[in-house]
Amino acid sequence: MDEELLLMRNITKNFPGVQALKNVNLTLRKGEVHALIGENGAGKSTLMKILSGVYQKDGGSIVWEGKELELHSPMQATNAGTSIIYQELNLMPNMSVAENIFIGRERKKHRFILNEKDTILEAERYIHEVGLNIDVRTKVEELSIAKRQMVEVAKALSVRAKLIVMDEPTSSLTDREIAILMDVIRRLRTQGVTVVFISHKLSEVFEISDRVTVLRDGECIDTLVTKDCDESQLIQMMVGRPLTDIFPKSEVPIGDTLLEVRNLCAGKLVKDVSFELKKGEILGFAGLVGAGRSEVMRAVFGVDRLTSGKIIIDGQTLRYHRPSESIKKGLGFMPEDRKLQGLILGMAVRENTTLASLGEISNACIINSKKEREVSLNYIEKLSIKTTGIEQKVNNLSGGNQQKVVIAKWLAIKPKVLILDEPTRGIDVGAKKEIYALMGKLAAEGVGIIMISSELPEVIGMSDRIVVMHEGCVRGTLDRKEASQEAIMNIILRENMRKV
Amino acid sequence: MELNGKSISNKTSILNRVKNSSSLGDIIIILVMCTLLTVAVGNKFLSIDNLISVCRQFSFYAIMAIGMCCVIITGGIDLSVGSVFAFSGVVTCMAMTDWKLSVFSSVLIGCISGLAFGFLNGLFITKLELPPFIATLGTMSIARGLSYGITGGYPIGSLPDSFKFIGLGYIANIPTPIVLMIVLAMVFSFFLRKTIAGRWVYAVGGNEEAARISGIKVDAIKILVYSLCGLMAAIAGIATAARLGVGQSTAGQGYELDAIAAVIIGGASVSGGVGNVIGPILGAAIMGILRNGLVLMSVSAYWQQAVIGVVIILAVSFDKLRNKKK
Amino acid sequence: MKKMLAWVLVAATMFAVYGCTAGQKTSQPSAEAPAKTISGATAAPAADIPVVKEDKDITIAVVPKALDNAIFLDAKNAAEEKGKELGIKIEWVGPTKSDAAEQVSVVEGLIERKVDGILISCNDADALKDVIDRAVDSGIYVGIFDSDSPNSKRAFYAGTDNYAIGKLAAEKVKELIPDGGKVAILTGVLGAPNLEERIRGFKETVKGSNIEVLPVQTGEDDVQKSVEIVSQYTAANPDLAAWFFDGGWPYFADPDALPEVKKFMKNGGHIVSIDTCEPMMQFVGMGMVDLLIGQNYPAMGSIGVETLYKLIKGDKSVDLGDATHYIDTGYELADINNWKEVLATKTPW
Repeated sequence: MDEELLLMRNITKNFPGVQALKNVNLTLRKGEVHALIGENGAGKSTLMKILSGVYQKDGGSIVWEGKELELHSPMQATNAGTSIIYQELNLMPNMSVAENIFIGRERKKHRFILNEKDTILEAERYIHEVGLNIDVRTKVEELSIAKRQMVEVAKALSVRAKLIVMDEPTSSLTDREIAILMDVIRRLRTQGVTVVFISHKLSEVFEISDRVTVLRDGECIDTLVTKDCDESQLIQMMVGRPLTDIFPKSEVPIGDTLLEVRNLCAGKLVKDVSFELKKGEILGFAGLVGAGRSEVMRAVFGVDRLTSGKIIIDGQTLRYHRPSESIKKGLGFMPEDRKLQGLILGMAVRENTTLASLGEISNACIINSKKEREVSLNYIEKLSIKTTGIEQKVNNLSGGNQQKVVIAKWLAIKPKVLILDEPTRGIDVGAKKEIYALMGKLAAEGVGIIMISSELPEVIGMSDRIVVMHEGCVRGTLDRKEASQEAIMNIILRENMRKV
Repeated sequence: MELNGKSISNKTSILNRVKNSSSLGDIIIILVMCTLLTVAVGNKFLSIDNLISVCRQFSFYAIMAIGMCCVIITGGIDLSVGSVFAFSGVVTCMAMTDWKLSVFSSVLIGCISGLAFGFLNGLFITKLELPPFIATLGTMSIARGLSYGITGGYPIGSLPDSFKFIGLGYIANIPTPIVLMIVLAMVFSFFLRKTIAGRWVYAVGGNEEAARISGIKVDAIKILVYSLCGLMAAIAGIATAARLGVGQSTAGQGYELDAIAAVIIGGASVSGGVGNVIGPILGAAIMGILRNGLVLMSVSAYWQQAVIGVVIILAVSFDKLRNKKK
Repeated sequence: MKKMLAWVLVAATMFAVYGCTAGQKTSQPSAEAPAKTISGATAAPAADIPVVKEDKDITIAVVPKALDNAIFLDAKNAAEEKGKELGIKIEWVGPTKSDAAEQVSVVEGLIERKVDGILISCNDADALKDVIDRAVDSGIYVGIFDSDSPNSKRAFYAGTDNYAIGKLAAEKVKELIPDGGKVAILTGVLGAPNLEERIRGFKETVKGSNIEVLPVQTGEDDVQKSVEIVSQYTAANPDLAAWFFDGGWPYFADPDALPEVKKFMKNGGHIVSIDTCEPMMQFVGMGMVDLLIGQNYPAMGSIGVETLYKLIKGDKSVDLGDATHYIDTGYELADINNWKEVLATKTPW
């Protein structure tokens, strides 16, 4: 039981501008369930991606069953005996359960011909082992998320994995399904398989894990035996860090209500959401990934259809709920994925900056090129976008500068309300600071700003008020004075405690 | 100061723009072909008569290809242009001969019929969410069928001279279809480069989701480009009917592929977002000069197809290789 | 990478060349192939309907290669006239464009509906063979016009001897240019058996004379392309003595669309063309073509329908032509002397 399966020593990983992991140590024993917890961006996923060979470590060593291991590709990690089940499952929905289990390792006869009988028989054995009772010929798309997860586990068993990593496996499961998954994990433990269990739900951590490791800001805080610690201790370890002065939040007089959202419902992830935003206010939206924050903003802006609710901007109720209408009313929306949703990568900086405000620089639908150049030059200077010129294609810019181009596009419409969804994701510290400064400046000019962020320090540092969302609902609103990571995590985690 | 720097670089950029644009490859290919042809057949190729004949021939394809280009920039495709080409041609001719309408109103009706088919394509693609390939495959068949239906398969001749002028006449010693092509190219170039809607066409093709979030009415833009494509097919069809002095339901079979080939040779990308008006004209010119060259050199028809295929692949891969090198 | 591309291109070219030559080869046997189904003069299908039908209940379907091809309209009119005369029903059905597969499904539909007779012009001799045999086996009388499927169980073929009209055209050209010279050929779809036969008839007849046949040019069955090719080719070859069009595509355009042809004829050039459709006749009068050689489509339509009618009625006097059941419908000629009379027989378009 105490025999060590894996030792990760002094693991370091740098991304451009960020040190994602700083000398992280992790020891996994054979047949234990080891929980890995921490905030978004604490380094859990990065660590696991190094373990699975997706990323290469910059420093440190990995010892697997007593032998030093250099991982260069996911294939090597799989061959060694690790298996990772990601949040977004890696199954082919159009293929059967059995085919999925043996994908890439198809059972064959005579070298080229698939052996269907063996495939089905073996698949049935593994499916049985995880306690699932389904026909292995069923197509994966017909299964619930929970069952798909079990299929992933069965697939891991079929490669005789000694270590199975589950990245937030319960995030999209119902309570009953979670119970089944817990049973499977216990069964794996008795078979001597080591399980790494990544979760935000402390209740589950207490229920299932033998030991728990807490990561924060890319550092390993500590590894404890689960039954020897309590919840508040873990929360403190997860968030306990002083706020640095990188958030230049200036006190701005808060004015009248600019945006009012009432009883908004849209899709599956937005349930009866109401909030309001005032002039000069920065309203933070906190919550876990998948809490429905982006979905709320997409519905407010009119990208996604809303099923019910009312949106009032500066006294005017939106009627059509289309982006074009929202823009006309002075709403700007910077989506979370700048490459997929924010930019037209093949276009120049000039074209991207003016895309939402072409009406302003045109006469009778004809673009005034001189004005257009002036506008984009103006924003390049204002936001100090580093580019060779306005004709530079945006896909040649760095992440931070790309983000600034998206912001420039929305500033060009002279917005009253600006919604920023993960404005600092994937950009370096310097650019982050600039974006914070800009937000402060805009607020001072009377713009109302909504900021969604998964980085709690950022939300706390920048916001006048914080709306905490969980599972599509607003769970609470915190004032700047009462806002702290503990308070936010409490709102979210208590909710989970209550549920189980 | 920075503004000044910009304007200077803009002036020097005309040469640069040609050098960097996807048109360079096409221009080189055209020059090479012309040189080879001049060496091979001399004055037969270089004679004014022949050059004008070649230009007039490809002008019909080029007009169609300009419309197709707009569709391809949005990431779509229109297979119905060949059939719309025929339909608008016969509708115009019928309007003149059977319904005794004036040339002007007949041409107007022909243009509207093409526009209507394009509009229909746009509706099918945006409102019914049919893939462009399928929607336009359907209208391709509908337009062709209607052409047969209203004519019973008979060609429609005895057209007034004022109509034939569109295809056979000359304006300042230049054949009307060439003038038409140049005017339309200028209009479309202006549309794509200078108007808001034109910018939106590129944005929709570049990133539909980002375009939608930027407040662009994506559906309206798509309907617009398909309508324009239908209109251009109609203009080409009417001009061809005028050039031959007869409207036929069988005209334009397979022309959709010629138009698509011209656009792709002209440097547009089927994945959308890229392309300009000069491209399809150069593409159509390459095909026209090539066909002319094969005829002038008296190459047997049995071999011509293979040669055309090789040149198409060379023309497209030339650009790709050049881009890779960069 | 570039090397590989080059190899692919070479391979593709070789494949295309092989395709061309193979196409030429396969096109030849269609006329030479012996019809093997000469089972006696009656050639009656395995009919199990002993009762002779009333005239008004008899339906004969006439299936052209394509509904869009105006050339079949004379056959259609003649067949319908003959049907009216005999008091039977004539149906005009076919694929919307020249496509063998589509034509097969049209015939399948006719088998399903159990029409009494089918008169068909085949898009492809081999592709249509099976379905024709099935129709015959199910008790339908099948006659072929215009384009044959010689190995099928069809009762007869009424049409033109394409080799013969090619030969005739060549003889006329020889007569027009006694001193010889260069002759160009315009064709339509490459590999179409009837067109290839005409070219073969033409080439073999001028062989050994002082006529030089230039490489074949194609207008791809498209009026516009044909007009452009003829114009450009004529302008580029000032020493050209004559043209042979193995189909009348350029003459579907307006005379004004062919200034090069006008000039060519004025300067002593000569043109012989196949087809005698109504719109083409005016070109004879204008001196823009020396001779039109037409397949006799009206004869194909009326002889075809009449022969089928006799077979259906069990009429012993039925004439199925020669030993291969080929009924030669002959051809018609139109030149400057007789074009007005020929035109008078045409239904105006």
